[in-house]
Amino acid sequence: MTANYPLRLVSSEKTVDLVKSQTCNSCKLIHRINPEENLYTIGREIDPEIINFSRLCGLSLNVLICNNQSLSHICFDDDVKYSVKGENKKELAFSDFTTDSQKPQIDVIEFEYDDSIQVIGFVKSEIENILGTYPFNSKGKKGEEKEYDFNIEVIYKPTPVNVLHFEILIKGTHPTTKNKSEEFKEITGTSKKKYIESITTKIKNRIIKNNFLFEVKDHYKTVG
Amino acid sequence: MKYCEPFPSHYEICIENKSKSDSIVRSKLTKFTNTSWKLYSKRLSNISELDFRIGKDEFNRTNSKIIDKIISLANPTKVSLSVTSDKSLHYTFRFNNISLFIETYLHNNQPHNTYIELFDEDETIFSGTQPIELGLELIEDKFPSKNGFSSSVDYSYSKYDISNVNDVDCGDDC
Repeated sequence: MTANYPLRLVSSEKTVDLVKSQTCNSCKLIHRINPEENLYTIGREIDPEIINFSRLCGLSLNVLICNNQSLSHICFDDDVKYSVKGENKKELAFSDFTTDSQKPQIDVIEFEYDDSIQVIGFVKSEIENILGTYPFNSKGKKGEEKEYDFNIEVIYKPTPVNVLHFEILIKGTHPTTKNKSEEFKEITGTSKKKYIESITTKIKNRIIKNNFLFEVKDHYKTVG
Repeated sequence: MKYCEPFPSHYEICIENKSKSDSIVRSKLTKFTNTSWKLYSKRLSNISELDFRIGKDEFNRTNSKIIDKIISLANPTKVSLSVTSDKSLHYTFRFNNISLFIETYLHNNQPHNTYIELFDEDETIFSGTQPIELGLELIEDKFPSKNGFSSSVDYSYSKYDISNVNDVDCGDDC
């Protein structure tokens, strides 16, 4: 018998609206890490490797909607263990879902389920409460460098095959060649090294200090 | 005639005990950070041999300076060192409510950048970037022990599980 991809994860305009309205600051967001990675160092602190810049920027997440909401029954800890494969992967897993015309036929979705994938999570408001200034000031150097503000936004980004999909955006106020204003805009890998390092360090330190990442241990498994 | 005390004074005993205790802490911290380096530096060698060498040079140059400074501040209740594929050495030290983070980003053709943050619970009491030697001096001035924070923390090595360090699989490097 060949199992089908879970229908509950497939987007529809109706479910997208429901997820949008039922996601709150207390909802948990979960993310997959490879089986060989560890969340903690041997010193029993969160390993900053788990939260390095290239991982954190644009990080894919799934929401576990709070139990007091009707949609909580469609969210499971192992949702992030599914990966879509095949030639339609880009269109199904990476494009933004906007209309019902993008709904795929459930039996044509090629996928794999990897039970060895580890799942980590955090509460939405805890990551969004991380904000601060950058770059770090350098005492003793002539001329204080101008400081900018950064914040973290968790945005809802449903794809045709994942109605529960969210993404992390790191935003900063420094002017760029494209946008000279000091409004918040997405920070990418092409920003000044000193800016990226300062922001990444501050995010890592705050996550480690408050220890708010946790391992999710298959409380609600759909497979196996 | 010179007067010699037949027995050491309380002060001398205290100094001697402190010195012995510091020496044990230094040795444990050195062993622990060396093991952490061996375990996590593979992330640098996975990038390139050059990055690994640059990281190793920086670790060898600064690790004992960091440990000496930490011991002079207070006995940490928790210690962690990680090497990240962002090409950084990241130290975490906990002293009860105090958290100290030291992160050095490694660069091939320019000086490395070190960022230090010191927190008393949620309050940032120091934050800056400077050469690591200067940064370590600056945190000494800001460290709460100078303002009444007890340096006689109930310290137990079991708190950072050093007894299991020898069981860590760090491949051929161990």
